[in-house]
Amino acid sequence: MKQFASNKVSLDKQLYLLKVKFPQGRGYIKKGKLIWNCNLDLGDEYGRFKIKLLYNLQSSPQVFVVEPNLYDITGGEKPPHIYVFNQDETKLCLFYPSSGEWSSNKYLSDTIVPWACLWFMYFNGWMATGKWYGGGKHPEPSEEVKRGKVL
Amino acid sequence: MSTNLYNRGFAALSVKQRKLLTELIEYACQSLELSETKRKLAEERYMAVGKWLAEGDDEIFIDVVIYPQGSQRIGTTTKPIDRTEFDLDFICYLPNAEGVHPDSCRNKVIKRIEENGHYEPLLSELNRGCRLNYADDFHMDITPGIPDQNNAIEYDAISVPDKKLKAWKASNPIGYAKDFYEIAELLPVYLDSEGMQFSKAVMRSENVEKLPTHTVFKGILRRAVQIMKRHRDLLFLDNTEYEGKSPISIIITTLASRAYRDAVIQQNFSNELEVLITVVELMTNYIETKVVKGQIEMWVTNPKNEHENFAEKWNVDPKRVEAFHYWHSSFVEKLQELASVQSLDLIRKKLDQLIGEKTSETVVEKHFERLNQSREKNELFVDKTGAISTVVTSTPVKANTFFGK
Repeated sequence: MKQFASNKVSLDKQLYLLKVKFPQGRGYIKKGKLIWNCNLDLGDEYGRFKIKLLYNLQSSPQVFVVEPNLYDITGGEKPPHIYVFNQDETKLCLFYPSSGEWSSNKYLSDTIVPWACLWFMYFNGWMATGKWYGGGKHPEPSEEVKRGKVL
Repeated sequence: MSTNLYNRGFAALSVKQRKLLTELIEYACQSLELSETKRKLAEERYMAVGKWLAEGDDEIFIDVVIYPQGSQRIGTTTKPIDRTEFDLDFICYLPNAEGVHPDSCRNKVIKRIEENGHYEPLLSELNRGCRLNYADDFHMDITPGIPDQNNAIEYDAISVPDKKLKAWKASNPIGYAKDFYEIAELLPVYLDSEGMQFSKAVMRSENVEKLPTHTVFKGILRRAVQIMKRHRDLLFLDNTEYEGKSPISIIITTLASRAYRDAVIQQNFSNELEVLITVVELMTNYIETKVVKGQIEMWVTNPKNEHENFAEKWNVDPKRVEAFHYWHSSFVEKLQELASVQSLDLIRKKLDQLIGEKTSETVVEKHFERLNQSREKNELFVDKTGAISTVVTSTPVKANTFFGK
């Protein structure tokens, strides 16, 4: 699929739509980089999470879990579909790169943020049974998922 | 009596949370009952046994009919916890066996079944009849029955042989099931809109909204009985103190159905969970005390035979009474704990103690299966707070593939 630079959604527009759709979030743009923090309340059964979203037009959006500390919650056991997982940071993998699921002509508020919410739902399932019910792809066949098989 | 247990725990939960618990309990019961395939298999098998008996030369087999009794008849089958076979109970009704001695009647049925080389290896004797054990599926307990010999006044009464007593004993499986059915069909009256939606959904047997976290019990009384039986099986598994003394299903079923009948007639409810919990709480009120021959006895009366005490053994074995109350208070406690937690992983842990780990895992799995069905059909939406459901918002959850290690 052809991608034109002109189709890219500007950072201003991205931030505006994030504010419209998730008014509790707070963000700004600095030196060509969008930084956005948002509390996500998935309800009593799935819990509350705070994420930080970093994005610039040259690279893929990055989503970090700020609160709670997932490393502490899981006792250091790594849930599936995470790029970085340690005491200091948790970075989520929400889409399959080169698949067109995400591109810079899409809105973060329509893609990345809902996917983060979805990830948290499946995280709860994983916490409950050790199984990942959300599907997905692994870059390499994993022996990583120790707690249970990935469905 | 007020619904204390409900008010102590569940009333404070959010509607969504209560619906989630309702959904999970429903899934648990679905996973515990006899599957449709096995039900059909059981039907084929008992019909075949009936046919085999009917072809017997002895005249007691003239017009023989085999029909299910007990949990299979009333729809409260519950998978045993420690083995794969369900217990299914059948009556082999012999209208032409009146005047035959109970022992002889019982022996003739066993002998006839034994004559079939196919059944012979599966066969074992029971006090009131015999058992055909189909490994991995179920075992069929077959009790011969003849027209009433015990001066019963109720419709559908029959008599069954008792080897130990060497006598005909009164029984009424059809009447008992009819009574249970009539009670189970009574629908609770719900007060508020939350309940109204549920009530209508029950009548139409469908979901009101398409929320993945929104489902209804398939008949609250049946679900209540199933979950009670399950907790009993779990509680008494490997319990040496009360070995062989756990409350029998017919006691649980009878007490629960009395409590349900009176509760739905006398009270209004705000949701299904409240009905379930009220039944649990009220059921012990239906244990009666009667003075029989100058002795005080505990009774759980057969609704279709006032002379039959399902709790007969309680009066000679106090351990059984203790076991019943141990079970009941444990069940109440575990339900209360279930209402004290909110997150899914803690709910799962509480369910482990209520219905067993394996079933509770299946329940969580089923919950996500439902979510995934909605996800595949692009029916999930996220609201402003970040909560995902099938309630339509301006932000649908688009298809994605989680990636990475």
